[in-house]
Amino acid sequence: MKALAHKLVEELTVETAFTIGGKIQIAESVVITWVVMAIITFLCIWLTRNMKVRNPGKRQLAAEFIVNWLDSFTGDMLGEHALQYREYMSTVLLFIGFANIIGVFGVKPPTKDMNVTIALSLMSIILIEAAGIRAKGGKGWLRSFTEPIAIVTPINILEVFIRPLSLCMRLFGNVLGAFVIMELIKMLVPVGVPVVFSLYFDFFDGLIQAYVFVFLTSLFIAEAAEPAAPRPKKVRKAKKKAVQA
Amino acid sequence: MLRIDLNIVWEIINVLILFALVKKFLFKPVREILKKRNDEIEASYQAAEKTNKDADDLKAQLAASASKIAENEEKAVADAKVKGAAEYDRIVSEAQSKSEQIISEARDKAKAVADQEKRKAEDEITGMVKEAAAKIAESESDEKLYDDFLKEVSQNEQ
Repeated sequence: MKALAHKLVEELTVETAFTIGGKIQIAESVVITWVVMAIITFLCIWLTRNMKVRNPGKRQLAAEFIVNWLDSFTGDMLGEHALQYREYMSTVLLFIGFANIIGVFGVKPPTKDMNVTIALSLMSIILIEAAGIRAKGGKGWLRSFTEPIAIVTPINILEVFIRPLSLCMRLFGNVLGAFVIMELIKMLVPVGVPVVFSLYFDFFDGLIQAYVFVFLTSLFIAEAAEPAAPRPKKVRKAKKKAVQA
Repeated sequence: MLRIDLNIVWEIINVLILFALVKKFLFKPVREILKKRNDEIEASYQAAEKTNKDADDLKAQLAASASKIAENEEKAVADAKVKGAAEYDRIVSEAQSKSEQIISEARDKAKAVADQEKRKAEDEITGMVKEAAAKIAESESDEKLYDDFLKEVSQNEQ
């Protein structure tokens, strides 16, 4: 039992893959991210090689289907005002999806490392706020914190921190939990059974988590990128004028 | 177990690089191809429309020229008819005048011939009269004279 616990802890720790200059420690997850990047890039290059305008081959049809699907998938969630963020969201979807599935091959998924999920959620919150500033302008963005009424301003400010935290923790927790259970199952029954559970924990849950991360980020971006509503005071004044007239 | 350190930065860089790679190798080429295909389809639609329009124009042109040809034909036929009629009239009138001329000429000739005959007859008659007169003068009796004269006339007539 003690040996089992020791092994489990070993599996859960994020090891340092190598060290640069004796100081900079490059974590395992970063190295596996490189592998995931290489796989995705290779697939992209392979799919889009020798593309033709007429009589596309099967590979090209697949590439076109994937791009169209990603566009409509992320575009639907982002809404009409934030379509320019489709490509980033598609990239994140591909990355998290592949990163979660890679656990099938006996590798520790990078999303099990909190550094990775923190990085992703930081990028998400920066993108969300940047989309808000781009769509509403600096003033409009600041004013958006007081909406729908001034009293919710503290909660709105808190959300800037809560959103990335929840994104980060949800992804990390799910993948870590799935990984722990999978490791336990592998230790208890090394043959046959892990395959069935791996289908659920690696494929199903992994893809669901990728979807959830992208869905929530897209939703926040869509909300932030909505054009600024007219100021309530002006509306009231206009109404008054209309009544007087 | 939990570890939060500088790897966040490396991971952010990784994701940004991945974003650039996916954009460059997946989205850009596929979008370009899709756009090219759309452009081509659009161009072929336009070309087809233009061809249709050209064909319609050509059709209208042909119809116009056909109607013009028919018109010309009619005109030519009418002209020919008029010309033919004129020619017919001319020929007929010419023939008429010529025949009249021929007739009058013939008449003149006949008249001249008749005149000549007449004169000849007159001359003969004069000669005969002269002869008769001379014979009368010569002859002894009137009876013989008459007989001679009558004999001579009957001979002449035969």
